[in-house]
Amino acid sequence: MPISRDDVLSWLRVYSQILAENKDYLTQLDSSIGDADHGVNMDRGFKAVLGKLPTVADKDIGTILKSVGMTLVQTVGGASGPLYGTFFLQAGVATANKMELSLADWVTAIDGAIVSLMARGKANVGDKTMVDALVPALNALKQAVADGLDEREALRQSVVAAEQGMKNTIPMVARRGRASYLAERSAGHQDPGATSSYLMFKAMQEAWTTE
Amino acid sequence: MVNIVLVSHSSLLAAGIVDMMRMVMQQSQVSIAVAAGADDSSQTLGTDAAKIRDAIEAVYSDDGVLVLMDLGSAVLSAEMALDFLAEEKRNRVRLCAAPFVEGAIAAAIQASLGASLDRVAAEAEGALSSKIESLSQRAGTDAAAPQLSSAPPVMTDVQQVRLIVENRLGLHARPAALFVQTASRFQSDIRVARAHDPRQVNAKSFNAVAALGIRQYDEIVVSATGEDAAEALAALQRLAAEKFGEADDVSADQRSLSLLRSTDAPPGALRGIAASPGYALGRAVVLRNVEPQVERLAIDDPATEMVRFSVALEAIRSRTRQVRDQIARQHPYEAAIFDAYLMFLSDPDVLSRVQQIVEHERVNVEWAWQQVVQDTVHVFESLDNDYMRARAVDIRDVGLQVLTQLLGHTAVAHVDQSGIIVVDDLSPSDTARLDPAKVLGICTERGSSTSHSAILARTLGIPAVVGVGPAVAQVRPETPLIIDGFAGLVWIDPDESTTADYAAKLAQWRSTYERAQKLSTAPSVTKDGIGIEVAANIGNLEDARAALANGADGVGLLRTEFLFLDRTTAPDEDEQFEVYHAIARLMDQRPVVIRTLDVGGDKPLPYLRMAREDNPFLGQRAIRLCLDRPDLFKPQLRAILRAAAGHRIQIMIPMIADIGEWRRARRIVNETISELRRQHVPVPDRVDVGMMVEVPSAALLAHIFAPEVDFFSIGSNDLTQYTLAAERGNASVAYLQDGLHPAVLIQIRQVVQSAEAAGKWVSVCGELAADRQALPILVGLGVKKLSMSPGSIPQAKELVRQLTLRDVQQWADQALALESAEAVRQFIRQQLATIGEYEG
Repeated sequence: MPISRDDVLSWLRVYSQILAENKDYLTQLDSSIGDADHGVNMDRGFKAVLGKLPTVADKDIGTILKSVGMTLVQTVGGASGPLYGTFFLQAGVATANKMELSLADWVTAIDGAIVSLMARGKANVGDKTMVDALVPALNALKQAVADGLDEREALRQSVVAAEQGMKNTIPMVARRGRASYLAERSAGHQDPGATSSYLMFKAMQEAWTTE
Repeated sequence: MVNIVLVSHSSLLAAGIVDMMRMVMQQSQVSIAVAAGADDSSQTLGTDAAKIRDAIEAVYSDDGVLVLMDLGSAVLSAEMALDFLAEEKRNRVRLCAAPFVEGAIAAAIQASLGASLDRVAAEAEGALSSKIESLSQRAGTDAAAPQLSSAPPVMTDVQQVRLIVENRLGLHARPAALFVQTASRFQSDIRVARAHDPRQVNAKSFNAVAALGIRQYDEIVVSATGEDAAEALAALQRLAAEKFGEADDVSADQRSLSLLRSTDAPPGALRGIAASPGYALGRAVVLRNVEPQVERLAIDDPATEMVRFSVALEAIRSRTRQVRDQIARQHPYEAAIFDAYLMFLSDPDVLSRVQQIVEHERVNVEWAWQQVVQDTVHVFESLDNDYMRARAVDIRDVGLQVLTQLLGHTAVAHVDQSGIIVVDDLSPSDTARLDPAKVLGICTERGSSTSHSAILARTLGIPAVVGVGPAVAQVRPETPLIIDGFAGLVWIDPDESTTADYAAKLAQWRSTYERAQKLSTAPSVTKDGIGIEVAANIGNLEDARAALANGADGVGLLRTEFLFLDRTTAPDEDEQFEVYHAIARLMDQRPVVIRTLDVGGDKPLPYLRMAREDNPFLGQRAIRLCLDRPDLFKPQLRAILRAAAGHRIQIMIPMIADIGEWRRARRIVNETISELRRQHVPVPDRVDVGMMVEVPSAALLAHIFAPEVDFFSIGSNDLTQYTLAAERGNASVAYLQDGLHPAVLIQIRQVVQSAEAAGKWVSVCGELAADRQALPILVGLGVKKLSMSPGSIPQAKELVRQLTLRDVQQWADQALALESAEAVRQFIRQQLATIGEYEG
């Protein structure tokens, strides 16, 4: 079952809502090892995205995702602005002029997006960042596509992988971003960026899995 | 014009910095744009890549745009903004890693001067160095500074030179130290590697350079990246051409050769390496080196560990500096050993490795330090070069000192009984601390021909045989021993005839030595009856004792700086009085010339908080500083004048360049005398006040000064430096630093003639006075008093006794007409040969 433009729009709306609901939770995670603004920043960014969506709702998927990226860059404020901004801009480049995507197209698009994000943040798996949730989720999706699983199962497995990746950040020592200033003391706390990335896949599952 | 963009989370912060930048830029054409805050309101703390792009576009110039960022997302957003720009513009925009505030101010200044983008970026990136320097001086540690000096370079083209190392021992301690010192003068990132070996090391790290193990005729490749890369490479090239400061040092070769081990030994004797000449008969004092046991302990607070570390390091640095200065007064070459130690103690690679271990493994600093020292020792031990392998001993020595300081132990047992030291190996620091009055001789199991302890033993005049082998370990305390430091022989429990034989040799050796000493206290008078006073340059009370032991006719120069160095506040009047008084009392009725404080940018005192000067030798030093700082000058004068009561103390003012300075200084001295008298403090009726002639202006106008001064003293080192515009201590202009240059001699004649016309006397108190080739010329020119390091006095007096004034006057006349210092030296060598004196 292809992913339509409306599916993409609904994913973005669901993600906005989840971020709004988890604003305090993310901020609380960030207050342990960062500057206590991740929830606030992401919520502000995606509220701005919600405001922006009606102006691009009739455009192709690429245009929508690029618009999301630019909005995040301008409104999030913290490091997640340019990072998620890069993710959506790059995903938008890969989906330019597309009105619908196969799951494989989508995997290719977010693969390139995650590579760009990692280059922007100079982060790798194990650095206690959003990458720790994104990469396992992506790999699970790829594997599911290769195994010929259906979309519902593929999304489920990617969310499980993202959640595991997010939890794996708890014992890690941060090597990038503000949390790295804490060095060893960053261990024992879940990374807020990995959490918001997990929520992004969770939103995908919610939006695209029809009951 | 290079324009500037500030990227900040906070618009208030950015606005404040812009205000500060405007202050230093005045009417400049430089444009500044700010991209601060996220969200349209700009009230949200954060950064926005689109806003940054707009700011760059707003001030874009083909000369370039420098972008300064605060932190975190500012960097990410700025990188992203760069991606938004067209490629041709992107290449003219530089994201700069400079500290935000300091970098912005430095960039504003450079940009407003019309500097290039590279230059503006380099200045901004170096902007923290002065803050680090001033704070590390306060804290008494410079551990942080060198680490930052290896910050990523400005990206410009890499320049390279290939050099051949011609030094016989390769790039060993002293040449390597000079190489590193020279490289460190430049901002560029400088790397060095062996030719055909891709492994490059930081040329500013002594440890890294020395560990390359460069041997004679090895080719090295030096690469430099940065604004002053070309200058840096040129300087290093010059250094290599001058054999890294060893060009005319044949003694290094001779010394090494004399230390070589012979193979056979007479029956009953053990053969070692003759390390220091002389004989010793005595009983064994057996020392055992005990390596402290270091445990690996988990710690909670790396910061506290690093503070303990820097305190211990500073203590060892300070002690090492003292030892170095003590040795340097008579043996500048040997003192370089300790310069190498100091460099190891400040080596950025070493210090950051320790810090990494402490912080990452969360272990005690003793453990971390031991790991780093052991690693370094292994590197040196594995090198294919005898000389470098011997350096492993030095590093172990430094390592042990820091360790014992951290643990609060002392390394080697204090020697309090007289005898011959028997030990497996003796570190240079231990050797330097030995008391030559108690230690008759040294015998070591290990030790190599190039060991620094061997060299130091010579310096201290202690007979030594090193590397004797395992038999030494069997020697029990109190065993009778004989050390033959000429032949490299050790006799353990010698028979009667050998003992008698050596007792006779020792007596003869000692009497020769003592005859020289005895003669040294006799006056030095030329063959035609002209008395020349030979006095000592000293720095403290111990030197004063050495001066008397060597037959000094007085003190020609008491440097008072030692009282002011290595402390956090200036010494007060009473403390100074005690020292001056003690020295004057020791010298009894011999004259003591006390030079007022000679410090400044070249010898900075942290508590004076002097501004950094670009050219400290041309800056506010000596009397220039004292006239500006009566709080420093007055207490010193009061202390000197009080000590003068009942003694022959004379006051000497350094660095007088202009009659106005002299008159102000003299007035302050006179005021101080009146003040003391009003307070009923005894002051002699007459205190002579003279000036140093170190600046050509003072020499040229000596006839103006002569009626107003009581004496002149020529500081030949500085006079040479200022006459030939060649900085002392800068090896690349060392060839100009010869006080026998006719340009210097002509000034000395000028001073002597002006002084004679006014009935005043002239002394010379620089290195020139002790120079065997210069001494006859100085006497010939009419100099009445020579002042030098105590150890040089006996020989100088003996030389004076061989001279005839009429001859040396003619020599001086002829020398003044020659074209160069070299020509003067060649001429004087010939003349000395005619009177049967060796050429010196």
